[in-house]
Amino acid sequence: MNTTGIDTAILHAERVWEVLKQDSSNKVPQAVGSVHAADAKHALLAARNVFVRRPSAVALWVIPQESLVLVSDAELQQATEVNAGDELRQDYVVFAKTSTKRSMVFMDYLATVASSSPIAALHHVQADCGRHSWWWVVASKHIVRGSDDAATQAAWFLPAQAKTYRQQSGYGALGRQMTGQQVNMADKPPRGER
Amino acid sequence: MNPALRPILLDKLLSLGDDQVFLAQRNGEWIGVAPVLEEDIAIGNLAQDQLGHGQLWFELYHQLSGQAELTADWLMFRRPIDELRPCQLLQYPRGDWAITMLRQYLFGLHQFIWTGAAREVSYHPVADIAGLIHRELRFHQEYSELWLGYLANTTTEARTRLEQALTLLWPLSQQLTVAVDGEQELVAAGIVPDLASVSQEWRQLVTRQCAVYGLVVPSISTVVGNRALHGPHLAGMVAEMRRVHDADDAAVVW
Repeated sequence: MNTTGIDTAILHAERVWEVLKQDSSNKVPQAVGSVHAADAKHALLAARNVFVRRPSAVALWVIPQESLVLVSDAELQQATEVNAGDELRQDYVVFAKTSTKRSMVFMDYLATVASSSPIAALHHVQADCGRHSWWWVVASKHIVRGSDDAATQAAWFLPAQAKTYRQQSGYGALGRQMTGQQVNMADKPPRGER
Repeated sequence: MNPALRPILLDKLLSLGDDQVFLAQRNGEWIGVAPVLEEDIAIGNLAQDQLGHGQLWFELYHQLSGQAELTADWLMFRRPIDELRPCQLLQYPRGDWAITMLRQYLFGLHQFIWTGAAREVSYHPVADIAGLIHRELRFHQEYSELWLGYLANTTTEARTRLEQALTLLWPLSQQLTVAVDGEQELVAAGIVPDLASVSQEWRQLVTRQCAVYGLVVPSISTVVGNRALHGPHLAGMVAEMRRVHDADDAAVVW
């Protein structure tokens, strides 16, 4: 028990959800980090609060971390495909590490394939897309996608475009002061929504 | 606009702006101390959005007042305390998470309905701002409604705190339904929506949502005072909000 009215036992039961963000319709969904949340709806809201207050986005997905399988390139080369039979065939979604930005590692969406096992899905995608150092594979049914109706899109993603400080580089005043330059008030960003 | 209506609209804009900024202050009091990082960021986001919304109303006030010195910052940091008009709901101290989420839900829902109606008024300056705020409030409501559900349906302690919060906050929230003097003239001129019908829909939705959780909305027996009637917490709150400004009120860069 604590002073906030939130029972800590609930917090301990919270799961970790990986967050995938799609920046624009011509880009693929990309893993940007994770959130703790009690359920999928909570995870989507937390993902929006943490990852898309300002940056551009058109879609958010959340995936319970334990449903993702992380496979290295070496493991994939050694893995033997077991034919589990067509009755287990389902859609798998495959991601791979394709880029690194500063200290962040991104897993990019590569493909969705129908396969009888996660390893079969990876082999299939590797044949098309080539080798990558790290892979994620998850059954498509575990991915929770945010609503794409117009009202939700407007509420979740459009306000970010009107925020004054959209990029960290916009927080320039302190840096200018620290380098001894005079702050010119005319450089202040236009007023608008914070 | 008929010049006779301008002072009435200016009064209304103060209520609208004050509500947003005072709620931003109370929500902002969680920043850095919320028990979960994700919720700390979430409540900080709400507070920042609310500051932005308050600024939009205050900037319209500035423009309509015709007085260059009455900027948004002046309205926030220099206006005499007896001219402040936030609803008492938003003056009440931060409290626990149940108070925070219920206050957010009650105020957010009222604003959501009001801005939804205000988008349709013929007076464009109000309609445009209402449209900007309304779309963002939809997200705020999804967030506070999720938490209402958790508080109502998870542990006994959470539910007890939610019930106590409802008993405490529902009477304080009634000032949201009190119009400024002459507001009906603004309604008739198509400048703002009718507060009485907005408030009626609000009461119905709150009552229905509470019933889903088995919560009973308390009945209001006393007469609700207008916004000139401040609660006991306002003076201390304002002192805290103005502390940095008052430390050097000539500063232009912090």
